[in-house]
Amino acid sequence: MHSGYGEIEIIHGISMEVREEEVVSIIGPNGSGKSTLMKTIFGLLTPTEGSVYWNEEDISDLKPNQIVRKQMSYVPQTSNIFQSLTVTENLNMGAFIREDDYSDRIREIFEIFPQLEGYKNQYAGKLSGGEQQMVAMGRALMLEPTILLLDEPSAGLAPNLVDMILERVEEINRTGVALLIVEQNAKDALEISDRGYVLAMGRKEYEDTAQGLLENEEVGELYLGG
Amino acid sequence: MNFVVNGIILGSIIALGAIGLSLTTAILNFYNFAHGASLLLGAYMGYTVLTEFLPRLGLGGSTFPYLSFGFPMIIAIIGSMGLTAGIMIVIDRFVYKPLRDRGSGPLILGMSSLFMALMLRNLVRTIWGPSVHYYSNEIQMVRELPLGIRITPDQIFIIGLTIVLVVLTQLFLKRTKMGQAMRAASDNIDLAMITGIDTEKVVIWTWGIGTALAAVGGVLYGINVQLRPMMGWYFLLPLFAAVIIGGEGNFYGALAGAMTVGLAQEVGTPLLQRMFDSMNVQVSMTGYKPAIAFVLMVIVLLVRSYREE
Repeated sequence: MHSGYGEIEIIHGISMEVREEEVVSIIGPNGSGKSTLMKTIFGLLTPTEGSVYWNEEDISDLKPNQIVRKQMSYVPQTSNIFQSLTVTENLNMGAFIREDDYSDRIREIFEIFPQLEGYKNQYAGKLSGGEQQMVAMGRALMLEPTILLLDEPSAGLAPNLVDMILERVEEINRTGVALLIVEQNAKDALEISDRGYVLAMGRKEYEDTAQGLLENEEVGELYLGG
Repeated sequence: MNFVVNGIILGSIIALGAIGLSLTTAILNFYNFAHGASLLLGAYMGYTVLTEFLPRLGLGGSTFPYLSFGFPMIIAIIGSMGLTAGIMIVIDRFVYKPLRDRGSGPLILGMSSLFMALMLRNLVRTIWGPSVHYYSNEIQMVRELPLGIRITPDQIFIIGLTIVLVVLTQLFLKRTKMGQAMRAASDNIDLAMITGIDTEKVVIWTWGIGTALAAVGGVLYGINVQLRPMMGWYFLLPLFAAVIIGGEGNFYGALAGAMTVGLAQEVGTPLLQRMFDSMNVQVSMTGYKPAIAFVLMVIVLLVRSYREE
């Protein structure tokens, strides 16, 4: 798949896949095209060449509001919560297209993120960075997706919070959700992943099981900080 | 003291317009210069319902105790809300939506709304004529309240209805899913789309509610003063001042901004007049009322830009 912004191509032909109930990490330096790849999968950008398939259906030309109906959710890296809405209202918005009673789902979200329950009537914009990330993930989980796309969930968080967020990711995965994660904290991300892709300059440099990438000396030296 | 009462009345009318303008500005990302025309159309729609439709149905004439109008006016207000909101939603579908879909920026949308404002004003002048109209020819007795407050029963009604509508709107925005979606879209429209919120539906609701409130504001202005084709234009500056002072998309901000502008115009003008009189400067301030809103708006923008540095 090729993609980019306007005339500028950022992704120069990458093919990859995520299987059911799998955690897959995309790692690579800044500007390697990780976020562009994510946006193209979710329909914010249209591939210039190639296609995005979801359950054997070509979704390359679908818009994000159509893709969410296919049980795929996306958490952008920045501006990923409604700041002026409360935590509960953020979750309500995540369930906007649901017609049924989703109060059970809200309870489940608070089980995954117990910290949030105490803040449920607080404005999301007033929470700490880690808590805001949990709100963003909770919002995306409201539709009970079969795959969740996370763009740098630990960006800008303190190291102990990074671990905590990644633990939540593991827990979400245990509920049967597949995850595709873009991460700067490459090592930490690979440790909770089944497989990984290493991107550089819009090309796929490596592709292996997470274990394989962690043990690969070249990858370790170049992308995992030695 | 009475200037304060007048300020609150004007502030109420501005508030009804500013809530809608604030929402459309934040959600649609352009300045809708035709929002003053919503007040204007609202006032004239109310007039037509009151003087044309209702008498034919045999409804008319009756008045509430103390007030200059009766039950027909309530129907006229509701009718005006529906008709005016309907017109603005149709305009959105045929003018703004095609532009949005083509990816037109705020400048193009803003300009087209300015043309809409001019068109609607001239349409009103063509249909109802350039002269002023009144809902009622009755003369209202001013009541003397404690603290030297002088107010007509109609004016108490204006303030009361505004409070009721503001509370209802706030409940809608807080409690209903569509209300929350409107706040979400005004907070972060990109995230709203990613989340699966039907943003076009939100847009229609925003026009509907924002315009209906402005229409009531227009009718209330008509009750308090008179109907004239220039009234929408006259309100444009105070409306924008209120929204900019309060911050786009901020409900309480729009309310506070509207009250600030209303009070500043009604209290500030006589104060300045007195100041100029004592300095023996020959000037009549009444024509400069909107200038006060403008000066306030500029001050707020300047202060805010310094704070953000």
